Amino acid sequence: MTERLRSSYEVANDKYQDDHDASPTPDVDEATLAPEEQDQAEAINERPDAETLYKDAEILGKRYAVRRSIQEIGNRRAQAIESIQASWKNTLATPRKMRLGIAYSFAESRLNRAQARLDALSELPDTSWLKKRRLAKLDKAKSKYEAAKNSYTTHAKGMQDRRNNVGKNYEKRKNDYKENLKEKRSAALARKEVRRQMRSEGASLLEARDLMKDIPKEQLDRIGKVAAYTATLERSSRKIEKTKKKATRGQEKTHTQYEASRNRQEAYKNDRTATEDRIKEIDNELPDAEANLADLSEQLASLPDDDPARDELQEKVTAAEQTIQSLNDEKEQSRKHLQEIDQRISDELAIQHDAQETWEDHQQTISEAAQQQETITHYQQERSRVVAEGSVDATPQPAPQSQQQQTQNRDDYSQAA
Amino acid sequence: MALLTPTLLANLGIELNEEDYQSLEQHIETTLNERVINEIVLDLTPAQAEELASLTNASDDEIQAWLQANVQNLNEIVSDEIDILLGELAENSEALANN
Repeated sequence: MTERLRSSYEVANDKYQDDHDASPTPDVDEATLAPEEQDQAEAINERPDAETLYKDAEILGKRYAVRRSIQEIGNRRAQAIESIQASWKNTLATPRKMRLGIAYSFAESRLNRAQARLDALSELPDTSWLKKRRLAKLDKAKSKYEAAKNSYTTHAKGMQDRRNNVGKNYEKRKNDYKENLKEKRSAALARKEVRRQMRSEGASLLEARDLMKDIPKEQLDRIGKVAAYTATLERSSRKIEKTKKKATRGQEKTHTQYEASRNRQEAYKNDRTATEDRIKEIDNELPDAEANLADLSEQLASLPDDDPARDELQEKVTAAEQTIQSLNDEKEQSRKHLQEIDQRISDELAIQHDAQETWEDHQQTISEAAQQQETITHYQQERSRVVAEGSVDATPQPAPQSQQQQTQNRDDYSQAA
Repeated sequence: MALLTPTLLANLGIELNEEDYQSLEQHIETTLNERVINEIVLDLTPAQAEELASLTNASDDEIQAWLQANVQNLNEIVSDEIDILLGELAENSEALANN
């Protein structure tokens, strides 16, 4: 498997190299540059003395600034999160689906029954009133059946789409990521080509190559490894810095959300208190209103039917009844409102709990990033110290023991990075 | 060297067992080193090449310091080679995933 894996990679790699060699190297024009890089390039180009102010290397460095943003948020993790969200939403949507399914089933049965009843009258003429009636009922059952079917199918399809989208989103992120890496590769190849064109060609290059041929392969590998290692360390450092900034921004955003939720919760609590007070007031008003109604009713009952004051008293009784009804309605509404408030307070508490957990996650990320950054910085400082102490010499002293130790240290830092 | 990570491979839809992962990581690292040294050589004058050749017994830090002092755009060179390598990995991800 390992050999097949490597050979497959190498074959594909060689094929790509062949293709690349056969086709012209893509020119690095403005269209291939990111907007930020374009701005930098334009700013340099606008200066009439750009050639003298900036050496080629500087122009290269500015024009083709290396900015990395390797996506390390696992696609699988994102898929798992989306999957859980979809499952949860589908769980919430299931009771409605069941209701719609039952309604659909009933509508279908009703339609079948209506059809059977109509079929039973096949011998009657179309002008028969009974047949017309059953035909009308069948049309009505059909329209209800269609409506129930549409509602059920739409709802069920929505749930199915929600589930399917998880897979589609995963594929989309994967393809986007691949495209991103391929674009970076193209840009890097273009920069590499430009660098090669800007280098001096000729005898000195061949001579340098000849000299390098004399160096043992192990030593060349070591040099390559050392060069790659430090650059990779700096790359990791940039990535860690980016992660840290993102986590810090996320933390601030979470804090804002938490505070907003707290404010909303406070407002709901005040609303709750006011509603409870109003219910108490209603409870206090109701006995008086009921006593008033009883009193008026008693007065009304005591009056003879032909008494002229009866109409006026009747109006008062009706008004008193309406007052009691209104108070009871308001009390019922207030109770429902209390339940809604309790639900909202509960939702806000859940939001705050989530926000706290998210904040802690961000804090953890920031701490880890800071720790990793510190390790890398420490290593870089150590390296700078070695350079500053002038140990760079064309004829350096052999130091097999310290070299071994350095390799060990580097491995430690590598793990941290 | 955290160039190749399981997350990166998973994002490309590649899932390997430990043995294959180690093998690929080793291959990527070796390829990167070779390409980097090839590019570095292109940047050197004969005198610098001779100087580098004499660093056989130097420590890693000393080699690194020498490279930083003598190779222009060292970081860009390495960074571009990493991009190229990862791009190739993305190009061949389907083949790798099917193995």
